[in-house]
Amino acid sequence: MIELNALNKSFDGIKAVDNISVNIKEGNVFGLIGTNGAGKSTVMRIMTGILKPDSGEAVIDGEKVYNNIKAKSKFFFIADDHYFFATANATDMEKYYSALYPQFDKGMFFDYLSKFGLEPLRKINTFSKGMKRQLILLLGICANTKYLICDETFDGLDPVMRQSIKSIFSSEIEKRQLTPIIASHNLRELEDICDHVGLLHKGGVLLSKDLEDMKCSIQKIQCVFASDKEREKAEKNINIISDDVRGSLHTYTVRETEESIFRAFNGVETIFFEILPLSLEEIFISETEVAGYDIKKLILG
Amino acid sequence: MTSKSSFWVNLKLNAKRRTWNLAVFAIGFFFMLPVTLMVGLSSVKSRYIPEDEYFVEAIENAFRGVMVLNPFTVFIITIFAMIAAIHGFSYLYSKKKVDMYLSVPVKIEARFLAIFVNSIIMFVVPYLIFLLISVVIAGTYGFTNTYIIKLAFITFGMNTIYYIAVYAVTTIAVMLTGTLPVTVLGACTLLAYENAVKFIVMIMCGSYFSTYNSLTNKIFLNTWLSPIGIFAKYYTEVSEAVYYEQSIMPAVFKTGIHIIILCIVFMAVAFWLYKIRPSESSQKSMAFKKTKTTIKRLIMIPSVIILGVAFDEAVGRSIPMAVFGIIIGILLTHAVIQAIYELDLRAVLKDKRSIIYVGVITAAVFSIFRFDILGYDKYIPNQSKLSGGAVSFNMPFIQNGDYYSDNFRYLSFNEYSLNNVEIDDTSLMYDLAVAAADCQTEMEKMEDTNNYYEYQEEYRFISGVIKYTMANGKNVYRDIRINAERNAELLDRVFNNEGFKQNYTMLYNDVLNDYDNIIVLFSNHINDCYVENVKDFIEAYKKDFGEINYSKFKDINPAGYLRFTVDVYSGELGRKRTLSFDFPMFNEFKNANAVLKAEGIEINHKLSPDDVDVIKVYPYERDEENNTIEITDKNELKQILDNAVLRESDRFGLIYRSSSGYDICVQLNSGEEEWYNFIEGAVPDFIK
Repeated sequence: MIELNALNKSFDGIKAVDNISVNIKEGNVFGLIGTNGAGKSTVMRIMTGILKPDSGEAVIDGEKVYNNIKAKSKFFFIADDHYFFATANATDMEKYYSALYPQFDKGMFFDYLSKFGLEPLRKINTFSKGMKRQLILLLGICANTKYLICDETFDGLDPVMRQSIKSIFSSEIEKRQLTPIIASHNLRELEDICDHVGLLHKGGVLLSKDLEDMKCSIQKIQCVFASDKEREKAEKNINIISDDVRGSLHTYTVRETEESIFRAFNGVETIFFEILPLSLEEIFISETEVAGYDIKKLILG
Repeated sequence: MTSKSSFWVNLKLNAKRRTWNLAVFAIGFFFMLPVTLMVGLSSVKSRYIPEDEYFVEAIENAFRGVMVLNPFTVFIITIFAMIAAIHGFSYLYSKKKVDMYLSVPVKIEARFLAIFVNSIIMFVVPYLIFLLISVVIAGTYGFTNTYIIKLAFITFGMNTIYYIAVYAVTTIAVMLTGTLPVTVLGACTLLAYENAVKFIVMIMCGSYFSTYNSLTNKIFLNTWLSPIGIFAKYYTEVSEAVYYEQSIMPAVFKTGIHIIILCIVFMAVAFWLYKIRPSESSQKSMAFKKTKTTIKRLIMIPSVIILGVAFDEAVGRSIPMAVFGIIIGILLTHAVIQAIYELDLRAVLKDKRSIIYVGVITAAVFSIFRFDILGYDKYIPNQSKLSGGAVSFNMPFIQNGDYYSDNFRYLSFNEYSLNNVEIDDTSLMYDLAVAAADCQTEMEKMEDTNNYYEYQEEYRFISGVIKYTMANGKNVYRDIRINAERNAELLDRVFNNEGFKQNYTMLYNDVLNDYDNIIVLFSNHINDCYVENVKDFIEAYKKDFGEINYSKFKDINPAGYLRFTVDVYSGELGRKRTLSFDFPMFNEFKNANAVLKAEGIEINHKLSPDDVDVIKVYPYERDEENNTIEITDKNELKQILDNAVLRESDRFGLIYRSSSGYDICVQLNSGEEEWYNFIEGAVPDFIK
């Protein structure tokens, strides 16, 4: 487990990370979401021992990360603009990382290279941005570390590649309990891949929740009531976060489980009733609005 | 996990990243060593044939010039060391690289050590290979001097530790900064700061203290922290040792141990900074906020002071100009450093506190020197704290020619005297200090009233250098001037002091005790005579010379000079060297004269009017119509010859003090010419 305990970090008097505490469980895909300047990269760099926090600590499996190679050997970090050696090719990078990560799976790496159409001996500086991203992701996956920490890594990947990488993630999670931690400023990029999401804003954690829990606990209901009396009866029994009325169609976002909704609507006369799945975006809109933020401004632009 | 991430893996990985660095070094050494040597050897071959007696020596000199005493190599090694340090840690300048290097499981110690060891390997391997190749090349030209080959390998060792020291200093600069240009500036500053500050103090002492003596420079030239300064001194010592064919090992051990200690200390500091350096410092000018202001001020203060001195001196001493220079200096240096720090021209006026701080410090330091606030020029040591000392007067009757140290190295007269004279009479040293301070006060008054030159004419002060040896062993040097008229008795006390008398010239040096090996020549230019009874003569001369003092000397002129020539065997190779020393010969030296007379040598050779065709007297102040006085009358010729001294009889400049405003050209019957001067106050009336 990765524990970030009360992290604080300032640069030239500007607070970049403000008392952040997050726990990242193994075998999950953790998404760290935030706008540009929210502190995602700083958190990532503290988490990987690159930066020393002003206070607090980052701990991986009980080991403090900063200046600790035992902790560092448990993850592979992919920076937002990852560095490749000048004039190096994919094989050179493989040699470098396999020297540092003894469990590096060379066979798998070259297999993936061929599947992704990346030439092992072609100089990386002739690769496109997307190809470089693919290469570093493959290096990271094949390093066989327990954690794969990616900072904005999925930006620049086309949908097909993203799907391919996601499927590799899934297989690795299943096979060896890989724990990818992915930072992004784009909520939609993480929607279909993350199990757990932390939302950063202005250096602090706005919320950190399990997506399934969120999805289970927040529902959207669309219904047309037979009468106002019926509506009042239903509304008494549900925890409404928001209510959007268009004519006679009510769209509720409620903090309830499906079961409790069915219970609440039992005996309520409706002309139309449907429970709809919420997108991650909608869940976040609801959750952050509750906290007094306008998520559209924060993440969705 | 840890086994593969070990030091050796890191070493290998780091080496792969730095192949171009190795290539640059290899190419550099290739051109600096075998190629330069080949050029030198070819040049020798074009000038001499192998059978020529100078051929081997020329080959040796060519090899030594390239492999042992080559300042250009040291310069290049300095650049190499800076390249190695900067390139080795260049990843610290890039956030991308920092992210990659610091996130991988490599121990910080292992990475630091790998970079360091590779930097040494990249230097040592090509240097050694090309040195060996050079030895082989020189061998094909018949070079077999194992002594010089040994020197070349010692130089290789010394250059290597020098390289490490510069590397360590540059690494500190890398750790303190975040961009390449600032690192280069920082490294140059760290490497030169100590010498630069000492140089500025030296300049200020020389400019503002009239009693400052250049022997004090030795204190400033002793470098403790700058590898460049230390190595410059080492090279000077080695060059001298090689020139005199003496062992370089004392210099090697002294400098070697000094630099090795510095290497250890600097590398420890560099590693500590590496450990605590914030990773977010890449692309920031300075890595540590705390050191930013201190470093800025430390750079500003000497720079501003030197500008103040330059402006002051440029217009022949002007306080307003000095103040202007200081203000300009403060604003300029502050603006430049701020612009470098912040990488923003708009930041030039930030941190106004530093402007005030530097202004105050600079003004204080400048004033201390400019107005001699601490009384440097009026220094009188506390007699109770004096243990003795030495003094050396710039008086012309003292030995002319060469001075040598115990191992026959050339010295200046002042160096020789101050090294050898041992006056343990502290009251004499104290009285000299008081007389010098009085003279200084008087001269300053005269300077203030613009009568300085009149004062010099009138009082005829005697100048010299004094060394006060304090009870704590410290030596304090000062230029002194003594009012000779008022202090004749004090000067006589000095000349009568045994510690002074026996040591202020080379006359009593052991080298002139080897009577069997000494040739003595007396010359008054007209006559040159070799002394046969050398032992008796030298002993008599020493006796006469020992009895001379200031009062006796000031009224006598030399009749000629003596040249003592002696062969010595010096250096590791025991080569023969011929030394010669010139001393004045006076009529008043009765004992020495007696020995010469016994050998039939007449030192008072006078021309008779019959030897002379004509005497032409040239007044210094002439009019255009009649500027030369021609004398042919026998009576007048005799009067002139009786009252004049032959210039060439004197190699000590004594005659010039008797100059009475005339040049006398004596044309002999043989057609030759001799130049004379009138004895002071003895110009015949018919000339005036």
